[in-house]
Amino acid sequence: MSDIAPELEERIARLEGDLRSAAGSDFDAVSWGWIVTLGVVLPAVLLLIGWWYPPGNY
Amino acid sequence: MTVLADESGWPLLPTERTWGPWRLTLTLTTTSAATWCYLIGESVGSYLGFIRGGLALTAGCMIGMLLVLLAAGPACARFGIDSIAATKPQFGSRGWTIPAALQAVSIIGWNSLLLIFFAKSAVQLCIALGILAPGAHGAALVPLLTLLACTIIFLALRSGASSLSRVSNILVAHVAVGLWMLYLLVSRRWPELVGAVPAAAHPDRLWNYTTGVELGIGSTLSWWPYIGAMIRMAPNPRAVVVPVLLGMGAPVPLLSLIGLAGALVLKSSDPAEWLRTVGGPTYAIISLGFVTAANFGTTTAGVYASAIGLRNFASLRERSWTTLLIVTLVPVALVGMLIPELFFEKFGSFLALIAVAFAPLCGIQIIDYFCLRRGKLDIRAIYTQAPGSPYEFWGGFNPAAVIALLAGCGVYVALLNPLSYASAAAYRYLTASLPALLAAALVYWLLSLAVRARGRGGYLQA
Repeated sequence: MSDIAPELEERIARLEGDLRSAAGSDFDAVSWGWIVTLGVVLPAVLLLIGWWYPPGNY
Repeated sequence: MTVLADESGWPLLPTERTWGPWRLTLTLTTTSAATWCYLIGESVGSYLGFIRGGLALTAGCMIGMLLVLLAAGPACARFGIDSIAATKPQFGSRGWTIPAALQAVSIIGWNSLLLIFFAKSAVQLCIALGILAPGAHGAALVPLLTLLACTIIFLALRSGASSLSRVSNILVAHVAVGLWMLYLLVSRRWPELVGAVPAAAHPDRLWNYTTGVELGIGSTLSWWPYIGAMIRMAPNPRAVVVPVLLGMGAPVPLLSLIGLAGALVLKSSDPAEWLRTVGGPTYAIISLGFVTAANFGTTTAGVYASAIGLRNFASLRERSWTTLLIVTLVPVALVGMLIPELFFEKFGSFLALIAVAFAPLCGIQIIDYFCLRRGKLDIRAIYTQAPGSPYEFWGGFNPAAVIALLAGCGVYVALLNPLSYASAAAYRYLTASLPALLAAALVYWLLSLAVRARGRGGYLQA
């Protein structure tokens, strides 16, 4: 016997149907482009600039 | 149904996930912009100058935000679930209580700090406006104002996520005020700013730089408890990437520059104090108003996220939304009323210990979702504790996740003592968060191969 409430069961059933029809709906190529640009490239550039550019030790 | 869903821990249907990119960005920005930014900036200002410190902090914040996005983003935004529900495939149908405890302690801690800040700033604002006499004793007022703030937040959140969005629409203006404050200090004290020497700089230049990055990573890793409850309101993972990275990742370093600049030039990260020096009492009043508004928005989001997380507990699943809000707010109110000064003094240590766990947690989620499960989660299994369910593992706990979490925490502490900041040699090259994340991910992956071989964890059904 399921321990899931009937309303939740209905909701999950609807979601499972949606997920089957929307297979592969994670991040797309554009999303990965933003992720790499903002999360990898930008920090790397900032780190390089921060290490080499400002004069002095601090 | 919409009201019920966004006050529950249930997965949201596509028709209920109505937050577009701008609405999500506004909410995330309001959440991230709070007076903790001053403390973060002040911490960086202990080791680095303004330009280098700002760049290191920004880089660290973006890296930390990336990790949080990859950890919680796909599951929460794709399946409409909160951060805690998203840990059930990794920690098990009962083991999720471990991340839930981390979430609760973290958010209670942050909320308590912010509301104590709010209360102290409100006292100063009343003094500046002439409502209270100069030198008015805050010891009696801070607890009362904390209680008042908790009451206002309770009333504001009675309508669930929609009220969170409405609060954000109003309070986001304080971010512009914060940037104005930064402009004032930079434009009027630039020569002093670039020439300032950090008070506690290490002789090792690389160590200082790495610490600036580590402070940034740790700061945005703290968003893990908050993020699921908000991004699940967006329609899909694609819609959350830019709002999360720019709406939540970018405001933290930007506003932290206020604390960084203040600490370097005026030896105080509190803008209410140095704005009086820079621009007189009027500017101080504006700053106090900003602080008051900033903390309000963030605490509202934290209370909402906490309440949603509590829905995962069976005993609280059927309770009214009002009860959930009260359960969430009572610990915050008690800290603010009974031990505000003690908590304020020890808060840095408290949070440092909490932050140790979130890097490994993200590592576990990232490796599980992208490598082990390849994006396939069983939404039904997340909401059942029936024997034999895919995420039952052993008695509801996945030992691979627990061991990996401990391993990651151990690596972190071995590299950097979060209380004393004593560090191992490798820390200056690696930070502490990144190796901790990688160690947890590796341990989890290796142990999960054994878990999968024994038919546990729902991997074979994926």
